[in-house]
Amino acid sequence: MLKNTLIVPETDARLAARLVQEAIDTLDIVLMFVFGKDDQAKQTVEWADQLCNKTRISDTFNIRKVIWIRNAAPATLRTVLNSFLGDKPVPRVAALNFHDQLKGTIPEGGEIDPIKLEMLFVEAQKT
Amino acid sequence: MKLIKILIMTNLLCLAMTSSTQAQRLNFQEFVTFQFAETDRPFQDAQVYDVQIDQSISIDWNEPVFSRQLGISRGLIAKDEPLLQRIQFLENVTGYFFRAQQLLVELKAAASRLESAKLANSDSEILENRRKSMLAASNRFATEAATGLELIDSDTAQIEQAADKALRDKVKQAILGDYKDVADVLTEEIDKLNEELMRRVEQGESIQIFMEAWITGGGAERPLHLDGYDKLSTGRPTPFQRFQLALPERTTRELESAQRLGELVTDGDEILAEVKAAIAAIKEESEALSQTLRVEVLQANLKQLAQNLRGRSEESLSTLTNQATDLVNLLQTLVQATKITQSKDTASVSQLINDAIAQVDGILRTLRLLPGRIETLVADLERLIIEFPDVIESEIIQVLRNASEATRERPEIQGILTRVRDVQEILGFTNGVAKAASTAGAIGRNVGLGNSLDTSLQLLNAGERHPGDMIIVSIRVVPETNADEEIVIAQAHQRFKLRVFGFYVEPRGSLLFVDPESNEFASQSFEPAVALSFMGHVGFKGFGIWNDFFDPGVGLTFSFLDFEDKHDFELGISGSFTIFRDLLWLGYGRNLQAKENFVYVGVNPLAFGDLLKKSNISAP
Repeated sequence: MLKNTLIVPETDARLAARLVQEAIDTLDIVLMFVFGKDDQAKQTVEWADQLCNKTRISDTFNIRKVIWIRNAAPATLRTVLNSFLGDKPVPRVAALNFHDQLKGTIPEGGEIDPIKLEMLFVEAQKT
Repeated sequence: MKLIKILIMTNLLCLAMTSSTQAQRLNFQEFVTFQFAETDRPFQDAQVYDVQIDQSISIDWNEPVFSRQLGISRGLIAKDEPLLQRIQFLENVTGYFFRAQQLLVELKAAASRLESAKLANSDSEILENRRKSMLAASNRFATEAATGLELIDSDTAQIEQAADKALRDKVKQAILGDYKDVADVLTEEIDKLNEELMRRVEQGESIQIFMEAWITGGGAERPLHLDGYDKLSTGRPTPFQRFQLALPERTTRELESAQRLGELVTDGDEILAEVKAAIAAIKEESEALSQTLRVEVLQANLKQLAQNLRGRSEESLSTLTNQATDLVNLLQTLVQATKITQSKDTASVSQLINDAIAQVDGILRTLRLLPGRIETLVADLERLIIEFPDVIESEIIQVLRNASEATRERPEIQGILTRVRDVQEILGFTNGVAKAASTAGAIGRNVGLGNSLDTSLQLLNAGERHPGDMIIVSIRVVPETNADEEIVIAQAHQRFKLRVFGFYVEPRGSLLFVDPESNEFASQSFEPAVALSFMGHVGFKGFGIWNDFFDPGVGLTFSFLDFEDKHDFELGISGSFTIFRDLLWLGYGRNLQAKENFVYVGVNPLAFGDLLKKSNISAP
């Protein structure tokens, strides 16, 4: 069960964009975006969610959060993502720091394991 | 560990850790930990730990690290050994994960405080401060964690690729939990590698650890039991009595010492002059003996003999070579004795006395050994001269015979030793290190896989002990050999000072110099008198200068006086003030029989000895 993950809806692009924007605007958290819906994406989300438990303060507060975007194609959502990705292609994983700046990515096809994901989290936690 | 960790051992230990002349240098503080309640101070050279008088002290060894250091110092493990490098690498990485775990706890606490402030709708300034605090904690944690993660994720091919891959796989699973889980995985790997190194050291050489403890103070030293390291019996538990009226042995010794010092003072002798005269006498005697023996000629002859013998590879001559070399070394002791330079006037009394004792002891030992060694060599030379007339010259046999006759017992030197020891006893000087090393029944523990070297010291069972007494724990690292003489490859010791906090009363003995107040006894001025006092002191935690240096005392003193001839027994009762751990005394009282008031100053000779000795307790 994913306790620290926001699963962005695939069917409602406007809602998806709003939810992602709200997550970005939330203060005092670092975000890990996972893109895609294949097995690797599912595994990645699972690992990232578990890694969030390290900093879990309460049911309502954690300084780490995972955003799972299964479909990043809709233009409204892409607009929000462009605010930190720019014109770069959508990676497999991306991490934002407390100030909503992109601190690291794992590209599509890149090797993913819990160590690499944790490294992204801690990079995002540096201020 | 239940107790708060305190690193020691082994200035434990002037833990410091030192090594003997031949010893390799081992850094004991890396693998010996002294643990006792309350304080937590790192083990550093020459440091003294304060321990409360009824405490227990755990002495914990990190056996794998010790074994590894030992292996390196003994040449059993190469410094560039890949296994060693791997251990060091993993220890380094583990350190980052342990610290990251600690910092993560701090981060969560800071985040929790921020969350509370948000829920309480705190004002913006409070929120901003909490936010800054949380971000700072996050940064500290992330910096430490990132370094550890990068290292474990890096290619450490120079070590062992396959092992690294297996380890990384374990870490990948562990990282999903706590950082401590990762550290545990790495520690498990380190333990495995350490075991391998311990096996190598164990196979390479059998090494034993000897640990001894003793208590010193009030002019006496006594060995203490260390579990598993000696056959000393465990004493009965005796809690420290804050109001002690019965006379302990220390007070008896103080009274005896005061009595003897009084006699010495009355005779007009001065301690320093006595000791210095003794050292001068040693030098004179040594010079006389050296001249009689013609040591330098004898040494030259023996060296030539050893060289001649070495030139022939005959097995029967090799023993002779060793005997000749041994004699050369023995004679060197005498040569050195003739070069004794008296310690300067600024040298401490304890240094002068202990130097004198060591020098006289050395000469006496030489004199005891010399005749037998010379005679054995002469007999062997006579036996082999027929077979090897080309390497053994008859002149050397004659020279040795003459030397043998010259080495008779020297009563003058024995007399000097007695005089110096008298002074030594009055002041309570004894050589603790030497005493502990000679403790009977010492048990060596072998360094090896699965062998624990841990032990503990129960002060409650340590018998008579007083605030300010010193506990010394020594460690010797000794290879197991068939040789008669123990070869110490490393050694160290750590000092602990016994403390009592709060008020306590103890009986003390001293020598007072009493001055009657009225002119009726004008002929008497500061006459020596032995006194028994019950002195109250207060110890304060964390006030080292007060406890160690000033330590004033106030109490009641009874003294045996002699103001007039018509009373055989004159008792003085007075109020006393002492300073410097009952070293110096001041007081005012009344002679009950002579009905006369008096003032006095005084000294406790054993406290004086303790004070002087303090700077002398150093690594052996």
